[in-house]
Amino acid sequence: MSPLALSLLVAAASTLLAAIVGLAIATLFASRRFPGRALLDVLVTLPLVMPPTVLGYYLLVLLGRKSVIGRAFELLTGSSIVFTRTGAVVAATVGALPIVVKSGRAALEEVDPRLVFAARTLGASPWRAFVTVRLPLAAKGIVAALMLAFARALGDFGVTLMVAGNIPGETQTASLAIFDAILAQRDEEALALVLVLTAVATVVLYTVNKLTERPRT
Amino acid sequence: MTGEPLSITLSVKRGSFHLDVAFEAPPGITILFGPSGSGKSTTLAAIAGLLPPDRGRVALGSDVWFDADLGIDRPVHLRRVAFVFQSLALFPHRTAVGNVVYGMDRRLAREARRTRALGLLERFRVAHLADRRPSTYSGGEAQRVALARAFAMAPRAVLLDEPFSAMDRELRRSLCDDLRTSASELGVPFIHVTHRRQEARLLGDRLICIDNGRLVAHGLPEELLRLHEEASIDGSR
Repeated sequence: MSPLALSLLVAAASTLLAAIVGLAIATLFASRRFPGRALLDVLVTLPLVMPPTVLGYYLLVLLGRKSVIGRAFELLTGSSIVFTRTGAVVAATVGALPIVVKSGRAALEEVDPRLVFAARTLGASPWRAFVTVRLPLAAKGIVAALMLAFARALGDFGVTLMVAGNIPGETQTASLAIFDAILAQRDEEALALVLVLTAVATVVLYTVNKLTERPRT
Repeated sequence: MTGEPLSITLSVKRGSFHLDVAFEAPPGITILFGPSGSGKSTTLAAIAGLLPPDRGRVALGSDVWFDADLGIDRPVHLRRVAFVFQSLALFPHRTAVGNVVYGMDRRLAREARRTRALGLLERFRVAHLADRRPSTYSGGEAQRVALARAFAMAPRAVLLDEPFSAMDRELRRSLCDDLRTSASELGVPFIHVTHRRQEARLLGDRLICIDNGRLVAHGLPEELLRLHEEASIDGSR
């Protein structure tokens, strides 16, 4: 598989994963106070500020072939997490997760709580009020969050290198391929990938800005 | 149809503010009158179940919604009490029909719900808005859709938190008429919060004055408002 195709596949898979986990966490943050909230917030946000090598190290320890999770996964699926595509997806997800949680939470918190109250007085259970009022009203912001997460996942370099390696056709995503191409002085190949990644990022940011523009009222 | 009275005993502490009220609201319109910050909205929120009181009891007839001593606190959505917010809180992503059907019994067929919603919108003279969203309504129209939505759920009590505050005099008068008609048709307790004398006079079967978290008087609107004016304790503007 070409580096670009692999990148898109990995980014799509990790965005999906980050969406499921991240939106659940974002909802929790936006709706409830619970013990350990501040700690969970820090934990989820850490990937934004830590060096990729440090993150990669933790993931190797946590998911490596000798770890409990790593062994369990290998027993179930026959392949390891690290140095496979699964590892690439996990690496990209870790970077995308804080974006989904932060932006998703902001989108949910921006919904006027009185609308949710209104739904509740009209007989809606907390779940129905969430699904029929809060979520649709936060939809634009959530889509924007997922697009940012996708762009972030697409661009991951360090964590992927640590956890998934740089195996051509298997875990060599576009950003890793650029690195290889530069080292091998295949400048044109590098430039092509650079331009594609830049274009994707530009389109994503433009769309996100459009989506999150405040309505003129 | 005669509904049962709401009986309310509440004690709520929020920082330095202390609300302590006890009253009964029989079917018909009870006005909760007082200056802003006197605890009117807090009282409504506690009755609806949006805010847990520290102590007290809220019951409709023999049906207890909240009782601090017995540990009863029925969730908001099971109380079936219509709440009309000052901001109206119409759902911006739904049409007028979409707003009005929201609180209806979902066992009804979709078509039946729509037909009922259209009937209600007709009654409140906003049928022309059926398939339009709230951002396109005028203030009075939004008001009428909000009332239609509240009545569509067949409420057991209706709470109105200064819903007419942004209206001009003319419009307020016409909405008051609609509200009176609905109240006598539904036959359930209405509690209407306002700090306007005109509204209190036009609407109220009874009036309860509240100030600084305490009940200061209750009785017939005419008498109380006259006394109120004579004493010139200004709760209105």
